[in-house]
Amino acid sequence: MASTKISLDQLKHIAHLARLEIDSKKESMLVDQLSETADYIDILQTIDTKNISPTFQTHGQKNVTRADVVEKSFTQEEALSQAPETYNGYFKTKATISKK
Amino acid sequence: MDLNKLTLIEAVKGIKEKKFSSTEVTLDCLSNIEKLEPTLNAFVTVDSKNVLEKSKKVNFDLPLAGAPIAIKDNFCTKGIKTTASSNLLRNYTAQYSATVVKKLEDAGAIIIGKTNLDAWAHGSSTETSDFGPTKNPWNPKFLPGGSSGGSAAAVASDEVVTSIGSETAGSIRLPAAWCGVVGLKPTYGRVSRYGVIAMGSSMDCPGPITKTVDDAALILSIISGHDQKDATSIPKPSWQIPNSLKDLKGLKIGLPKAYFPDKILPEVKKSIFGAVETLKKLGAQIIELDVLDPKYSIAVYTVIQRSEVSSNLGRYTGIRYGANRSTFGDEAIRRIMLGTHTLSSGYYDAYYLQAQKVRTLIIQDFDKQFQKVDAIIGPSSPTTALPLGATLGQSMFGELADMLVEPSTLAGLPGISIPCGFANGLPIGLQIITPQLREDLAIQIARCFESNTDYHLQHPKI
Repeated sequence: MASTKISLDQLKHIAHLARLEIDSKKESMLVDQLSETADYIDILQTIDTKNISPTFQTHGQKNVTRADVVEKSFTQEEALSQAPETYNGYFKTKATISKK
Repeated sequence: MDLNKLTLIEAVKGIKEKKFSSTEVTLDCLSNIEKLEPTLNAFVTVDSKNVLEKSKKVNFDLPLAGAPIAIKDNFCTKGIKTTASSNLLRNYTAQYSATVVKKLEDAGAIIIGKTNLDAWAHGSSTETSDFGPTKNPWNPKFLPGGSSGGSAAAVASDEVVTSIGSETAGSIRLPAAWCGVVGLKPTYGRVSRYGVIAMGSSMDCPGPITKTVDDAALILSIISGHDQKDATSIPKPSWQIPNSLKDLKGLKIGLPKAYFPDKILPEVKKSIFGAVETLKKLGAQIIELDVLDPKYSIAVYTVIQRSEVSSNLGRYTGIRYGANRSTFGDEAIRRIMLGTHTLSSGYYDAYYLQAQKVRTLIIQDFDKQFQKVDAIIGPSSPTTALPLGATLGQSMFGELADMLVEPSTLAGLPGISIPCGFANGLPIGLQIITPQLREDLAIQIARCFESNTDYHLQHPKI
């Protein structure tokens, strides 16, 4: 990898991916802080991991499933009880497809 | 009567023998909470009314009959707000309880309140709570450590008899060390994560923060065990409390040289070497170890934790519950952003995958060490509690403060922090790490050390 420094453009790209709106007053501070952390984690590139498998799970359990049986769950009322906005018994979301 | 000063085991025994009632214990806790909260800010919510009601209906056959317990506010509790000390979840009340909470309540415990943490458990100070920092009971100008700082401060100050915390890397052991109490981080998967607000899912682990080693063992015996609702739960029955050891003869205990970094506080080093002498007197053989430098663990942990944070916090959209993403604080934003970066196209292999490979090397290193020794000890933290304000402007405060607990966390190992000394009136913690599923040995060594020292009997004058 070339440079680990995170640029302002990169910061904006990451913020978009993470669905975060970054206050413009905080942008330069975040660029510095993320670059500092990115510099630190670069130490990982100095370690030889050829033929080493990654560990995603420390005790080795794999593909855990349960029986495909319907269990008692929340009522509709309970499920909706914490929603900021509901409509006719549904969660209310913003439109994801805009009108032409 | 000061019944709040009792240990969990003493409180349960007294309630069962009807020397005093659960309501009396609860009232003493509540009055101490009322007195100390303006100084400490250890609680987000105190559930006075309900806990007093519940204290009147005790089932004396249960192992925790009527014992009031404080729960870190990242455990879902049906009917009591669960905020994770974040503005985003400020008004959230879960529709269900975490498995740990349910198990405690089924065992007779009653929830007295929810304790403060670094927002989303992102931190090692409890200073980055969206509801203000918790203060250290030994000196309120200092931090309690974190992220389970509220639980540790509440136990250390006798606001409560016992508490529950959670650890991703250090969030139980560090505040336990800085507040002079016992913190037990079980094997990953030993205790169900169901209903705990997720941070780093491949490391998150609930555990007790208590006044004594025996209290921690009692709680682990109740909250452990397989849970179908957590796919990473280890399919084993509840953990059994081990017998006491008279001494430590025949045990080999490793002391990694690298756990004494250059920046370690000299008094911490001195205390740990004092503890080493105590362990030797008890019959243990101490063996110096050459381990992988913890600086690699800091980097591995930073990448894995922030990647998992960015994924876990993706669910907060403000649609099903909670406020919208504009309410995330600075620390959450830093972590989500870096984690999004390390998982993003073009960077995944170099950061996330590489970190998981180095994690394998860390695990292999522990495997190698545990062929030579039964357990590994070291300081829980290189310093005693740091002053309020220490986290400001520090982009990696948590990851650096927890450097000595990160290796064992990445390997999913259990560890316990117990009091082993003081410096300038602030406590010092000794950590004991054992192989996976060997909490029994960590408890036995800790209990033997505790019964031959009196650090755990000292109380802050607050």
